[in-house]
Amino acid sequence: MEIFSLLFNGIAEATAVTTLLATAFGAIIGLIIGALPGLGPTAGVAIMLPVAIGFGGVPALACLAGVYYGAMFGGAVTSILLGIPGDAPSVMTVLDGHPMAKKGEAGRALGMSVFASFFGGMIGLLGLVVLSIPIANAALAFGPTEMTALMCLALSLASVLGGRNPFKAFVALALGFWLGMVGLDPIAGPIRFNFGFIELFDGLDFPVIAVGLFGLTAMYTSFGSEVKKEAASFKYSNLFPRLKDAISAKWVLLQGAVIGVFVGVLPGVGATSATMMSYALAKRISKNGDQFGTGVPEGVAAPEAANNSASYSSMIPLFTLGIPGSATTAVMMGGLLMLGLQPGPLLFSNNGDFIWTVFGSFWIGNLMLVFLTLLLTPLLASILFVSTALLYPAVFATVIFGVFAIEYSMSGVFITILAGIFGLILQKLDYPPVPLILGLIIGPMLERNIRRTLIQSEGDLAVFVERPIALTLFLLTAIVLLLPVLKRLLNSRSKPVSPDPAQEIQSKT
Amino acid sequence: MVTNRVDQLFAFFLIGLGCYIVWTGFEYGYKRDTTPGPGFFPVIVGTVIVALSVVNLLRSLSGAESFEDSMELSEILKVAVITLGLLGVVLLTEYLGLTIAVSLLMLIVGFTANPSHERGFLLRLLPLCIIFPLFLKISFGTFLDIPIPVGIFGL
Repeated sequence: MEIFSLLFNGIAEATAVTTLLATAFGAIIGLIIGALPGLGPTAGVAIMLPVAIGFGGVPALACLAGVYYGAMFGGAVTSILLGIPGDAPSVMTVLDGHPMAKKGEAGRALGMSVFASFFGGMIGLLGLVVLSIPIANAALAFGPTEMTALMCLALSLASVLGGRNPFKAFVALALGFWLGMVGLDPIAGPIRFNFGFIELFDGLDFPVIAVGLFGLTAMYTSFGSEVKKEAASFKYSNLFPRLKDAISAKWVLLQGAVIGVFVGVLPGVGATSATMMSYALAKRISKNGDQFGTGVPEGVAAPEAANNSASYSSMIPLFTLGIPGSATTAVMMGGLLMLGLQPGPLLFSNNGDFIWTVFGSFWIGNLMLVFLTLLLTPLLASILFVSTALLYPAVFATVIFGVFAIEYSMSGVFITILAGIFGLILQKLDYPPVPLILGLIIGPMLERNIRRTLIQSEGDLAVFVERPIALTLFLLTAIVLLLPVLKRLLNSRSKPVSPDPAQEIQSKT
Repeated sequence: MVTNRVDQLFAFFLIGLGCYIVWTGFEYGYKRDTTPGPGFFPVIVGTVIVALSVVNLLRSLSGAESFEDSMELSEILKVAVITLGLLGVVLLTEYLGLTIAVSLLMLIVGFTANPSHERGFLLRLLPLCIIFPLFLKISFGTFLDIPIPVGIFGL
């Protein structure tokens, strides 16, 4: 009960005008970014990070989170109206959302998407609020060895599950570790890998890399992609979810939201996987399972509830353990660090007021997005048809000003450009960028923990497996590392299966 | 075919980078007495990069992993032009100020996306390239109190 009292206080604090304005600003930008094909939540949060940090404190984080879940809401608009996923998590929404739009039920599909996103968001937030305190309390008992083991497990999961080729994912992770080593060694003192540049004395600024790796790369890849499809028409009066649809999809909504909570917590799995699992399960449990893919509201409800729920629950490991499980939460962690806050179990005891106000702003933002999405859908649909020759100059200009604002120097802009080009090469060669960014942010913490522990134990490696929790986590890490081998063995024994619907959609778009 | 070759070259580059990281790690000091030194992590990370990049190179050479060419020459040229434009901002900001340098970048991006002299397009792009950087200058400089670099024209 104390948790809910803290939350209600947080919601009351989050009604401050500056926080409300920052939440609304972030949510609107997120809606627009989510609706634009090619720019997903990670690119959006990365691009807006330098701008949001300027707001300071709670408004900064409220704005960033607004961009994140705004993009989740916005991604569905393009999926339904055009059949083009605005971002990866809305790929599954295309399957039933677009056929509904083609049948003249675009408003009904959009209404269901907004309701499912809201419902999923509320369940995700409930998960975030209820699970955060127990996890943070449990984590307080963790020593450096347990934290090291936990980081190893999180990074292994993110690398094994985050890409098609685990070898390349681990190379990306190692590159992230290396980039994290640039600058002053935190324990022994010497400057490492600065290549004689004094600007690199303090290391690479995480947001500068994140903006390049996710923001610029996404812009490079989506540059010049004009929307040539015709948007399905819809009536404003039809935009609200039909009560009958919402009631008949209640179990689908609930299972989607619950799957989102549990899948979102896992590092490297993310909202996209949650939508696929939710859609597949909904197809099985629904009475209309055989009609999925032809345009049924439940086919929209299942993935939308899951992706919004997952977007909130993915913040649980970030806030409670200080370990981001996805690229977007890694960028948000950069934001927390820039605000002078160290995410982790102590955040709740040292900055309790702050964190509960942030959670309060999430609740307000989720509710706000229902109205904003319903009001702005016509605008979002029309933005899709604005030429990239007019839209992208403005986005590039915002990125330059934003990155300059991080360090007040053009060297940051230069590093962002390099990171953008590097990100493009990685993407084209199938090296996933998520392990790299996680390696960059977690690598220095991992190195500090390992070296401090080994200094205390005078080099005795057995210290890492003496405590049962650490041992269990390391064993889990070993199992995760062996997953690709097991998967290959299972695949070689099993018969070919029907193609993944998400891949089918992606190949069509 | 080209992407496959680039993939192999990149793996080769990573092997070189990994060797450099290992070498430098030993220079920093892998161990100090019985405890790990500043080079401890670089040596491990460099070794991992070398080992896995060798695997990737072999997979690519054996055809276990192959790519279809995903970027056309025109797309590569567009990325190159925009990157040069971005680098131009870095170099010119000292002389022209950030606002004017960004204005020029916006023109480059706009014309790269749509190389057209159509009147309607110009009438939308040119005002945007003037007004939007000024809006950003006011937003960042005045509201967020960021010291935006000013050039010889005072902007």
